[in-house]
Amino acid sequence: MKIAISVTRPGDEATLEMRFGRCPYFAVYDSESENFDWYENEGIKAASGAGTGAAQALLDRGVEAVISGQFGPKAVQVLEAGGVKMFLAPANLPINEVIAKWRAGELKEYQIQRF
Amino acid sequence: MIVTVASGKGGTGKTTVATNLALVSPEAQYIDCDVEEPNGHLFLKPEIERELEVDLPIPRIDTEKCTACGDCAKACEFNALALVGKKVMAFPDLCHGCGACVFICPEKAISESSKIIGRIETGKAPALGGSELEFAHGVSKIGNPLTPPIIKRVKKLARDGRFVIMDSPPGTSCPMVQTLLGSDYCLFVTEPTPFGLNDLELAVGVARQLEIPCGIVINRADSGDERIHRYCERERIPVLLEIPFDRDLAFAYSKGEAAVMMNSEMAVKFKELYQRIFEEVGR
Repeated sequence: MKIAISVTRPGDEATLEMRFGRCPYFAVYDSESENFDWYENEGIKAASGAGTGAAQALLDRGVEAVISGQFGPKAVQVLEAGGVKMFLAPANLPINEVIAKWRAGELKEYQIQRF
Repeated sequence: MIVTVASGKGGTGKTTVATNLALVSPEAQYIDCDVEEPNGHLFLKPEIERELEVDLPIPRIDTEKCTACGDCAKACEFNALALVGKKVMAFPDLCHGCGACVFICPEKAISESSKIIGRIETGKAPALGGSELEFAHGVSKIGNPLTPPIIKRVKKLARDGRFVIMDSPPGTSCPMVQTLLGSDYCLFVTEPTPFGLNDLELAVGVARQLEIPCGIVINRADSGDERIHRYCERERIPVLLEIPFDRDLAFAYSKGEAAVMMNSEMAVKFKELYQRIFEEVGR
């Protein structure tokens, strides 16, 4: 299973970035091989629709779960329609701790707000 | 001739300058392009004669024809379309109405439907000396995040042979650029403060990229310091008018009264400004 995490930078020093749509990088973690792939978030350059753009890119990469600090309403619609689970983690948490918490089932699932 | 009144920084006096200039200029047409919060009508008090709606084409997807190839989502510059599994999702709030998705779809599965994003009102207003000026403004619908299509539409009302004054939104982003495009001259209203200068420099940068000549009006000219003058000298930008701070003018403004209608000295100053603009454009 592939899990994407919004992060501040690529590599071992990566920490969780609060924003989903406008995070600089995504770490895509493969839970079987325990390997990371790093992607620049194209959404950050978008004039509009950073959230939908970032969500689209993750769907295209076959991601099944996302961990971030916060999700925008349009990104949530795309991720939800794509069957991607969304989890919340605190800002600046080192990437390895994010994964450890996820494995331990300690991360809260994002509650979709309906108006 | 089209003159845009812009500023960079908000609250420097764009509408004050644009409306007063319109009131003293012969054959004037005032167009308020600050469609998120148009306020020129408060001072010009036009009689509205016509109202029309502004709509934006947004994509409608025929799910029977759609093969979920995803070409439309890739073509969309604004991420207003997403391909999720076998379904294309559309986000009208993000759509700029460019039509790229309709053009690119190999199955001709996308057509354009429309969404009302604002309205335009036109009419006439009394000017100085008993004459009349033409008035138009755009009004964005509350909650509409995209104003350039409304600005584009209201600008089309500019008439040949008129002295057209476009009242620009503040800032230097798309709405201001959209307003300034196609103008013969740009009048920047600023104030002699660090914020005024910082935003003026950004705004002048826009005018220069668009190759539109510009001049400066310094409002509340007797407050602050000499930084605007120093900047204008350095950059060789003419200062066409300086308006000192005046409590009576501020009081009249708060009641929606135009300066040139109540103060003959201001009327003379604005007539001179009109002349100076003509001289500058003629250079």
